[in-house]
Amino acid sequence: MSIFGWALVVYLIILVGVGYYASRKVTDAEEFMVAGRSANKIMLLGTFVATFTSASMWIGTTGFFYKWGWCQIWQGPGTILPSIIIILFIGPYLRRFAQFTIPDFYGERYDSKLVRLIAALIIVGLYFTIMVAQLMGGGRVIQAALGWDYKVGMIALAVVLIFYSWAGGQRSVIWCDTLQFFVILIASVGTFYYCLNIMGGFGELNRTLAAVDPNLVRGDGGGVMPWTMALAWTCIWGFGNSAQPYTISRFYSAKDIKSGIFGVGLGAFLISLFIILIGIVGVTARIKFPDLPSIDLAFPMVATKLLPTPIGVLAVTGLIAAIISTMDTLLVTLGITCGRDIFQKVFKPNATSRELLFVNRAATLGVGGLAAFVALNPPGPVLVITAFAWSVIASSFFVPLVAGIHWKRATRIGAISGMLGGAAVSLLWFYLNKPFGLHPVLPGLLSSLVFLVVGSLSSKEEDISELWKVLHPTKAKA
Amino acid sequence: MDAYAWVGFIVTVALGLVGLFFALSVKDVI
Repeated sequence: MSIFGWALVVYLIILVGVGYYASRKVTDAEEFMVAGRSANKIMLLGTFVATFTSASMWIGTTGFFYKWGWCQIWQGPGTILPSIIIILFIGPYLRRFAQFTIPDFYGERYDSKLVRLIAALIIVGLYFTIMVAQLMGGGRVIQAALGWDYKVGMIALAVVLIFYSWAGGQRSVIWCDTLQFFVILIASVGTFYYCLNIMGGFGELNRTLAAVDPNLVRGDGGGVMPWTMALAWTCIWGFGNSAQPYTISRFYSAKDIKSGIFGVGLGAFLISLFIILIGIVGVTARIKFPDLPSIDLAFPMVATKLLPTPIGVLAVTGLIAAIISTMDTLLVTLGITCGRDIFQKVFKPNATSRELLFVNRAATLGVGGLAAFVALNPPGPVLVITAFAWSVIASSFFVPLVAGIHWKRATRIGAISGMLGGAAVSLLWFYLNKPFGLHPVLPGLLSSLVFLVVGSLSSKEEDISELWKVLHPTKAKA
Repeated sequence: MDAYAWVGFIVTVALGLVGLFFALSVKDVI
């Protein structure tokens, strides 16, 4: 086995150890679901950044830079914008609300089991397929970077993350994510330094890149990225990633609101630097390895063939860390949604904390195991569903969430209309093969807004004064 | 790189700095 393989084995063993250590305190459901609301500033920073940076960022975005050059820097604003939206409009309010899941918010705010159930079923159905796709991605990355068999790599990742997610739930995930954040950070600094060093600095890198193809250093990529496209991407990713339950539910685990704002705010700054780093890696790969068979190989090639071995090992480990830290959060979100929103809220409202803990763990184990099993021989529909899963969640969750927090007049009927209307229109947009070249999230979000406003205004106003005082304590005092 | 590319850089980093501002405006940082 190569040194990259050994590094991965050691890293996975460390993760199991950290995850197990953190799980020792998990004796009730609250510890499992929100880590006892004990995550401090550094932990919030770690888990937010590690969760947000995934395989699609380190592999996919690097590949886009490889193919189209610096015009892909326009992915940056849409990547950072969700952090700002979460800080200003979502996170602190969820922390004041102090529940456990995002369907909890919908259920309580709109006083409706149906709204909760719709949200829970969307999460379970779509995050499951995303989980399968992430496992497949992880297996393929290990295959490309280390030469391992796809199934061996995928199963190794699955066993480790299922184990610590099952044992310690959100607590283990946050501890492991914090560790993974530091691995990603150190790997990024090392990769950044050596790439620029090898290419003779940023100016020389761009001069060499322009000699390969002048369009690679142009902001529009020679027509690939007009300003309308840049603006559309900023809106799509900016709003689409602002209400993803696996990211924003992090605020529930925060020790206090300040910890949450610190973690997400500093995280936004670091992610903005990561985008530039990823760009440097991508264009470096374009210069050094111009004929790669797949753009997804750009990052693995730089890490394993260009960087000095110790830095390359660090870069590959950082890549694996980014992949695992997104999957563990998805898995624990799935498990908790099954336990809290389906088992407890639908079937057994008087479940004890220990019963809920047991079901949460069983669901995490079951869903994780099933996802790994499906990823062994993934059927075609998994990839099809994954293609629209993110858009459907973004289109159905954002408007009812933000309106529920900031618009007192939003009602149950409005929320159901907004949620289902947004999901239906984004699905329809996919089915019609994206009319006008618009990404389904844009019409999905817009229609969700229209459905919610019309549904709310045409239904009777609901009394939510008590909940409003919790969400807006300073306004209530005034 | 042309001005359009630099604007992309600047907007990306500026949004990151807004996040940093929020993080540091929390009074008892670390």
